[in-house]
Amino acid sequence: MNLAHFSVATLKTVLLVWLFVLALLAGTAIAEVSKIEGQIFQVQKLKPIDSELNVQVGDPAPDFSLPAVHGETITLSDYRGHKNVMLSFVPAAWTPVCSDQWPGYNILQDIFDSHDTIILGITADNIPSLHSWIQAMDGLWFPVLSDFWPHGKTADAFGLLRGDGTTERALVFIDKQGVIRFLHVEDINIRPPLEIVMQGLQSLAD
Amino acid sequence: MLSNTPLSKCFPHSLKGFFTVFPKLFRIILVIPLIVLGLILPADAQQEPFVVGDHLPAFSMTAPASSAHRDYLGLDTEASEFTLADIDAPAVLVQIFSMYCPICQREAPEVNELYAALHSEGLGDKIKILGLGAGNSDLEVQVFQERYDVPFPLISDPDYVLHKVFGNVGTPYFVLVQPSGTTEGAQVVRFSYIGAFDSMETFLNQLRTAKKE
Repeated sequence: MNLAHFSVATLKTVLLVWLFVLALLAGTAIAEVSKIEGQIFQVQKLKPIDSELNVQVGDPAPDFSLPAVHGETITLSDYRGHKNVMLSFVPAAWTPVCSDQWPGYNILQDIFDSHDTIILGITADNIPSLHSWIQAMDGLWFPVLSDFWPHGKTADAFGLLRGDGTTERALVFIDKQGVIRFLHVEDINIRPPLEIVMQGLQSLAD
Repeated sequence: MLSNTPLSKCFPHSLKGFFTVFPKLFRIILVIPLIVLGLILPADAQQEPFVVGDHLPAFSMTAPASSAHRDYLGLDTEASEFTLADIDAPAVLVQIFSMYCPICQREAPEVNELYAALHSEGLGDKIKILGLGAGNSDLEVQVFQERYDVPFPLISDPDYVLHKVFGNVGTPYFVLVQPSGTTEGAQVVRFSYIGAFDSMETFLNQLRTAKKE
């Protein structure tokens, strides 16, 4: 009998300890340094580049119309005559390096404005995923386009669609005549330094 | 009796008997969650690379180009590299940041306020601030410095060499260090803080308390 009572009391203690553990875990989740950091999918090192370019500097950029996350459909040739375009292809939403690339461009709007250049972010993810991801990045000032269907068609037109259906980490600078002036395909595992972006913007000014 | 208590329903009958006979097992079960917790937390939560009392591994950094920043750190004009021990201050607050980190961007004005508060409180020479731009090129650090009018020196770390010293910690991360006093050049951690601080005043007080004379 005594033993049985002891067990019940101890069981209660065990439960209390577990509750305490759960509370601690919940507390940890709340106190997470960066909300986005914990949500990011951790990827292994990938093959640096897994596609072959279909375009080169001097070529007219293949035209495309893609749905933007904010609702509108964006057609590249609509910018012809009044805006330069930097296409920023990144591999996929919710991956570490990509989540660490566009937030940087987010504080550079004046630099892009002064070069009369708009950024179009592109991935082959669907709109809901991109939407959530952009929310987690606290929003972006430039449009993000979904090259989801037909899957990666635009990326493929540039030769930037990888074998696994993700896109390369690439920057394509297109002038107001719709001509490619600068191209950079980065190792997918790293972020292109800002120096490359400035080089691209410079190529539009030349 | 026991079968009437709701808790007894949690265990199959055979186990119930088992636990009654071996109450010691309960004590083991009590300990298990704590062990599990110890295993889960490091993987789940952002871990601070250093705790108070730790010694920093030795590392050197590229000296800033700006003469004002060299003066602030107390580096002579010829030095191309420097270490924390070279800094002319009894304590240094190292900030690991990145131009690409939205939290660091948002917090930048507050860190500037901290710098200003250190000066207005007469601590400007006692605690100096040094930012290390994890994975940031010279231009990226320069952009961050100019964009947010950061008054203290920021050092680039394009290949994550310095970031590795700090255990590839999430940004922002702050660590207050002082010379250990026993080992020449060694730096001991007085305060370690991961994430953006909630209140500049509280943070300043924490630094003040953590710093030893």
